[in-house]
Amino acid sequence: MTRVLLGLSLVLALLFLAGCTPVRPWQRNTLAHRCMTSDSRPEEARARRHMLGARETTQGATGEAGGGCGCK
Amino acid sequence: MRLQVGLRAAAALLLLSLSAQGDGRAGAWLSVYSDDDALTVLSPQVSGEVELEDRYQLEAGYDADIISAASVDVVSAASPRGYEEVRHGLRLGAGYRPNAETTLSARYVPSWEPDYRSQGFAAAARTELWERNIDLRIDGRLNVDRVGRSGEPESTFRDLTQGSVGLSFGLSVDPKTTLQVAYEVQLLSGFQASPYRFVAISWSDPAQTRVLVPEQSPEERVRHALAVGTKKAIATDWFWGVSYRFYTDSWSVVSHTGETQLERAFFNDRVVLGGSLRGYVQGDASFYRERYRTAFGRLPKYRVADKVLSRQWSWLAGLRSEVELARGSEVAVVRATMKMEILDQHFQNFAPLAGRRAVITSLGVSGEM
Repeated sequence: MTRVLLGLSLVLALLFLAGCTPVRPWQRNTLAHRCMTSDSRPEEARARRHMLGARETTQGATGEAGGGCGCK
Repeated sequence: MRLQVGLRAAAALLLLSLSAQGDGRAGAWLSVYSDDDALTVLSPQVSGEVELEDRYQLEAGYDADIISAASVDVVSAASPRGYEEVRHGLRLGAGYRPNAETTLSARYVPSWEPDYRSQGFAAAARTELWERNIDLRIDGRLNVDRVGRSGEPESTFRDLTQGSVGLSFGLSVDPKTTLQVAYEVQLLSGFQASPYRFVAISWSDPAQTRVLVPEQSPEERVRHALAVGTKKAIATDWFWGVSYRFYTDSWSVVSHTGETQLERAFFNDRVVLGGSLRGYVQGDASFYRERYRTAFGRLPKYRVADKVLSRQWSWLAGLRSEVELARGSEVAVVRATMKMEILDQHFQNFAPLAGRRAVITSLGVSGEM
């Protein structure tokens, strides 16, 4: 199941890539907006990952991890 | 002693980030988690980063969890009336940019509390391709942890080693759309049960004997997580994002996470208001039982009383507001953020607790130089 989903994601990415033309630097104004970037609010993202990581056994594919927490 | 040294290093780097001749950023965040199972956690956080000569990056951070649990834990002999505890964490990192498109970085992330000591190490490489429309990142992490019971000597603590490798791919699809795909595999080896929890085992004898035994879980665990997401500027000043994550592991836990968020910018980006909604559903671990029943005198090899390994679902909804407080020449932008979220969890086969609802209130301030 994992290999199927991984392969599907790669195919989707390649399809996107095949149909795309590169975004030129003068077109990137909207993409640079902090609401569009994933690393513009690091403290907030870190706090959320930590809170959910202490309450769910699922981890990964979201960012950094590490450290223990006795707050289950 | 370690905390004092780490705090001084973090404070020094924060001051450097505020005074350095270069780009930098500093932020502070405070989250307060409070649920109807009598658990309250205050989580303050400060961090700073500075870029020197457009090539070197330094970062430092400190975070803590101040925990107060007043609920009665019926299976824990250590804390029948709850507990209070503080966890401290540090983050020290450095980065190097050999060229404009590539960044190499490393981090040291230790944390400690009376019953859990963690030494974390991370390294990452990131590069941009295709006129910077593709963002590729690989990162690796290693945690060497010691797990024990509060108040007992270090010699009684047990080891837990966690290693992971992650790959992520980001694509600028068009001037208003991005796509992200991320995969992570994690290996855990060592003690992964709780040193406080005891599990009730019912024997099938005429007396229906019930015994309490220490929790025991497998010492090896392999985790896989795959996430895809997209963000899109759907109209002037409107931003929408949606993501999905699939997770599975060698304990047979499978979960699905879906999330969406919508934000609107006002007054030339000085104010941003937004909302988010996240849904989560998870199956239980293969060795998890709501009630353990065995033949007389026998114990299951693996037995746990951990609700996070039970079958469950939850939703998390939140509202967020961000306001620009100042914009000047030295400190480019200062912003304040306020956020309120509700987390509603439902445990479908965990007898002591059917569910819990929590309110998470957060305040933050950040400055960019």
